[in-house]
Amino acid sequence: MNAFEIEHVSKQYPGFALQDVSLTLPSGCILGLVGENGAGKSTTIRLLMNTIQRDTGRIRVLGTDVDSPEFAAVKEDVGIVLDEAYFPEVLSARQIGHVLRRLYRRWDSAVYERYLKRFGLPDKRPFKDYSRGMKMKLAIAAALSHSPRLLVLDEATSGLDPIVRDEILDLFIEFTRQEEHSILLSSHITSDLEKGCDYIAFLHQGRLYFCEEKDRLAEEYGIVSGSAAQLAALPDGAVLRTQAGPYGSRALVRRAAIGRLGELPIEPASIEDIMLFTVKGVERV
Amino acid sequence: MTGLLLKDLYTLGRQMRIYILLILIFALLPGNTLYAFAIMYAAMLPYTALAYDERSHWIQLARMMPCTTMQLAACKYVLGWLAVAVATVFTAVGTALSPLWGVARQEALDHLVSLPALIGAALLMMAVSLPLMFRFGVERGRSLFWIFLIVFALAVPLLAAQSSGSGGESPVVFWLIAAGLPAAGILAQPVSIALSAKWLAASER
Repeated sequence: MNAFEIEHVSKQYPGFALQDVSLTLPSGCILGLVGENGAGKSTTIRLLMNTIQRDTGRIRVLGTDVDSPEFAAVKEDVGIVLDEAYFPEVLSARQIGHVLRRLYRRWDSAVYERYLKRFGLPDKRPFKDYSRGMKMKLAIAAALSHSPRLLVLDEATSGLDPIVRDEILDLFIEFTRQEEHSILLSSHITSDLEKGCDYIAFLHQGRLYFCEEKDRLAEEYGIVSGSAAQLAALPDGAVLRTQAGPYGSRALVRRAAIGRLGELPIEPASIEDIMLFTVKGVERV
Repeated sequence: MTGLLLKDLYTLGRQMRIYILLILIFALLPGNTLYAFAIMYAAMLPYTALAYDERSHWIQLARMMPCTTMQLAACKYVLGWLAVAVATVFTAVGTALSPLWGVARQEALDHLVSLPALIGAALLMMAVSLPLMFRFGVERGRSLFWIFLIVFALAVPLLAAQSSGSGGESPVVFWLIAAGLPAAGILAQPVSIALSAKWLAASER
């Protein structure tokens, strides 16, 4: 079963449009949704949770159509972490626990307490007095305390220091050890996605450029650096996009199509490289 | 729903102490129409709760949780009803006891008789303003509240005059206000809740 399926979804706003997005997250996997600020990541998440109305397409979460009345019950199985956490400012972690215990049927206070201790979160301090890292940890603790099957995280790691980010990413990997657990992780920090994700989806200006297995991206794409003449000599169909710089040119290439290059090495292409070539590179004619 | 209500009670914790103090002062001050404002003031609590929600973007998160827009909207009304009920009890007790500190018995009786109309006015105020706040935000909704309050402030002396000047036989206008306002206030609640839920759902679409 898939954790969710988004099929040909579009949403038009004045000045922005999410266009014909299709995404599928198989159960037990982590999908990283990457893109610059304003690319449409948060809009995609809101559409997924049906808090905004899509113009076209179809969305199913944990096997249930988001438009059906049954989707209200499915929300019990979805843990949500939004970019600013959005808990009431004056509530303490303990009070937030009391509130959420009455909103989620499967809320487990012991699990919540354990996470508060694990993250070193003071349970009586008002939420507004938490640092950003503490806020995100609290939101993650809350999201994990009602036995979700799907975690949806919108920019949960941005603005956090590398140690906290690493700690949180380890937690996500731990969560997906159970086969039926899945994560949608939206971020513009590609290194976070490289660490834990099974799939990477790249959104740019409301369009989905690719959604691929992370390992396949590494296998399929590479970077070749050289002079413009050297890159021009590469076989047809191998060069996807090129970038000219002051000290030479670089090309995003398809490894399988390129064959042996002699003295030109093929470097691994990171997610960031693929994104930058996709957005800023020039298509070879 | 209880979780949402508990969240509002926690959020308003400090404000509620001030509200209760003001309601007590309004309710117990003798010989004026401030007692009426105790009830109207209580009906304002949902606005404050909604303003807190707006500031923290709580609604955005709550809509992704297992609660419906109907529950999110209705919760604010329940909070208002509870606050009005508490203020009414304080006011009724204060008014009933007011002859002890020199208020004329007839005046105290008139105040007690006007309580249902005041409750009706408070419910009507909520019914009119809350959907607008869910749709357009608390700030713009508050503007409407002040218009309502001015109209109400002008109507209270009229109600008081009608009530005290009625003698044994009350005029039609008095009964229209005394019975019409509570009826209108109660009947408006389900319609208003449905409208609030609809506009809340539409607010982010």
